[in-house]
Amino acid sequence: MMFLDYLFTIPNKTTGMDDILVQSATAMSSIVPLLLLFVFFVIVIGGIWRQSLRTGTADYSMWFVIASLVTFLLALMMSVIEGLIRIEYLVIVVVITIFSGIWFFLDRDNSGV
Amino acid sequence: MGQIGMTVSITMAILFTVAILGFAINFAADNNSVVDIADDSIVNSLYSDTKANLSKLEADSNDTYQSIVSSTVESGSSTFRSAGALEITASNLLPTFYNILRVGYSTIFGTDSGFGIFIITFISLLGLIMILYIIKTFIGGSPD
Repeated sequence: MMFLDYLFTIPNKTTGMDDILVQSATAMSSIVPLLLLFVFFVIVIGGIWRQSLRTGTADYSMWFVIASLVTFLLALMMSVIEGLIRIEYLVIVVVITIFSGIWFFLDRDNSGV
Repeated sequence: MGQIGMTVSITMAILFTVAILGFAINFAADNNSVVDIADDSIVNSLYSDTKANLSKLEADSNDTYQSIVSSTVESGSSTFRSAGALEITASNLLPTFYNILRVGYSTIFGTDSGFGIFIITFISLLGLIMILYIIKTFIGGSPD
């Protein structure tokens, strides 16, 4: 059997799903922000695209708020496990959530929501 | 945006900020989280500043309301100004609004002077584009 040369230590898969994530994040520290960016942009682009197909116009600020809230909750859950997310990423997610909220509230003219 | 729309937007944005930060801090406290945004001093001070501003707004609103309710208008005198409740919101909450923007700027872009160079370069580029547009308007031809 041929052994492959990996550039990082293969995660130990017998200790649980969170250990795989933690060891992957240790080997490649950008995996957590990339995962958060993926979730954020899937919701933003998917939502805006789908809404503009259905109604002709898209509510950009609403989709940014929804995406940043989902990312924020994901980042909060990640903060429980040690070694998964750094405080810089969590604070940036919180700040983006606050910015999206401010944009959402200032965006409304005289319509509802 | 009218005065009522602006006031409601600012108040909702500040309430949203307090709710998000309070939820995050309590989530970390309830679950013994290893990473807590309360460890970040800038965000933590923003949270306490915003809460202090909101309680000051509450006290000021109560005072204004009391002054409106308990005011008497003599016959022949000028009418009482009753829009004070909308006036106090901007003076109380706008500083918090700038605070939030500053926290966001320093968190995302940092306080490093290296980013200042980037900003200045970008603004210079915008200025160059404006100058080109102005010149091309007089001389003729497409600025693009």
